Amino acid sequence: MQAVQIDSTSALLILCAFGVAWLAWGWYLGRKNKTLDDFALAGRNVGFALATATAMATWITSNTTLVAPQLTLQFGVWGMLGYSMAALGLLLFAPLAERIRKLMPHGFTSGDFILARYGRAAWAVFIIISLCYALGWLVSLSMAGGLLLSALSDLSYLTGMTAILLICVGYTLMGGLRAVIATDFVQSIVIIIGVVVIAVVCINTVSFETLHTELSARQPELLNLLFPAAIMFFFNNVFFGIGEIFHSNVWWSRAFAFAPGIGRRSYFTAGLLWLPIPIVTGFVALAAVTLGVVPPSPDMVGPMVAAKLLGDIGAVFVFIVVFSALASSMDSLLAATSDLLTQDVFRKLLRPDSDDMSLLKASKVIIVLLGLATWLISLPKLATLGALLNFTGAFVASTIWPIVYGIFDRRLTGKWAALAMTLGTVSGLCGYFLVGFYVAAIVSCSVSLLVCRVGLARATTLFDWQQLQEAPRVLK
Amino acid sequence: MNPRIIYMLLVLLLIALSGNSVSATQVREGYISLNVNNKNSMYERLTLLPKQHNAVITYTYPLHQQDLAFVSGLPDGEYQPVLQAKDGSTQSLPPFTVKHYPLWQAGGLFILGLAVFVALLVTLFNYQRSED
Repeated sequence: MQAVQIDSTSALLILCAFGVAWLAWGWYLGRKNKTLDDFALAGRNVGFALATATAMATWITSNTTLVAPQLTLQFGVWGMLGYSMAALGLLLFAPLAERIRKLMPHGFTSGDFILARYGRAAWAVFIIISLCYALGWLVSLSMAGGLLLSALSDLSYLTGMTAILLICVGYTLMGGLRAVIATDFVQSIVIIIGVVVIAVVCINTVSFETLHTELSARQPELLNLLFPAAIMFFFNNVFFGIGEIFHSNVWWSRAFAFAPGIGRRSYFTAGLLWLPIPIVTGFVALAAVTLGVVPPSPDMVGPMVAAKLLGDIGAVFVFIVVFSALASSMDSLLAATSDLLTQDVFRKLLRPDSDDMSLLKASKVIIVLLGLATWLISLPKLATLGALLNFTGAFVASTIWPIVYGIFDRRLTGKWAALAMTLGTVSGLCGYFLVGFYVAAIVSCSVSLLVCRVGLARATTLFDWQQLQEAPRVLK
Repeated sequence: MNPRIIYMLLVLLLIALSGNSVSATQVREGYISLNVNNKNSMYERLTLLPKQHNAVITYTYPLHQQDLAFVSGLPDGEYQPVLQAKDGSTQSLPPFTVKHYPLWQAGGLFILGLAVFVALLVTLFNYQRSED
């Protein structure tokens, strides 16, 4: 392996220190959890600073620290800018978060909303999409942990992947959403400092002039603004990012957890703060060839370039920054997916009469099972991170329009919402396999829009918003 | 939304997705992962030689201890990858062709994306305004 900077003993020591610190933090914060609302929604009273930090830190993930450099290496300037457009997901979710909180003051999950608004058929399609996405993202995060460790040290992919899963499952289990939000706050500070330091060192080491000369000579298409595949990718990433945020319970659970009036401001601020981060992390990938780094896989370029720039100590620094980014997303995803399964599968389908304590227990068991399932699927490294993430783009982009119309327009019915999500996903997958990963979301979103518009044009009934006030409810 | 706009979106979608069949050795994105099999650090350089008769540019990349090498940003052309060892000997890898998507096809998808994105912004803005 090239650019190995951390020996295996040091890497293991850092892993253990990380693990103990986060687990102790999770345990400390978890002592305050008494009810299901405390564990799953942090008491529904998160303030502006923590709300903004958790929204931003959760969105800084393997996507931003590993996939943004990957996409820059693949698609050049367009890849870097396209990735930063994922901030639009947070910015556009800001008004939705406010309305969600108003429409469903007692809601727990995005599934609660879909069931109450559209009924059982659309809910079933939505849950399948949500779980496919959540598992895809979880697998990509654990894979990223493995890749990170194998890129920066001579520890194996398996060790890194297992370690990040164990640590995140551990502290999410102990502290619930309260621990997740608090660790996200600390992690977001670490990540921002780290990313800025790496970018400054990169610019000082490789000047813009050298970078331009080297790229023109050895990777000319990366600077080409008419690079066809990159042009295709641009809006695909916009819709992928928006779809991820609009549908995922990671963001809905935060909308329910934030104190009244906080959602809109915090999501908007988080979006603005997040916007430049992929440009900074992606930029370092442009310096790869100039620095003599030719990665074995495109998703390893970010940490390899950063380690090359910062040397031995720098590798430790990079390791901590990227590991924080991965952990901040994985814990959020574990907590939110566990909520979704607890409320939407366990409670609605299996045990409608469950009390809060049995739901709390179920939620913890589900976190462990999710961790185990993720570990098993991550064992064989099936695809690059970018390709894996964008596979889920076909699923999530199909939910954008049903969510928007569901929240604001009383005309769209469950039948059309279910059809829009199904046909959108199927056509997105066709695009993924027939053309490439960079068209899946755009195709899915376009088809979903067409179906929704037909549904609105043919609407004969109007939904009563009052029904959402009583949600969540169980399936009958 | 006007039915004509829906029809136009559908046509753009079909145009963007049409005619993408490529052979196994063709890459359409300008990037490729090459199996350099260099675990024992035998080779120190990877060179891509364009196969055009009048080609003057070659692309050279340093190699380390690695099995795969990912190269990107290549323009259209046929390429012959060659591994260069420290002792001066060389080994050729299977050639490949880079053929980017036609610009009109990429542009079609871009316009489709822009249209759907503008529709989303307008929809959210209108709903938000009516709610306020």
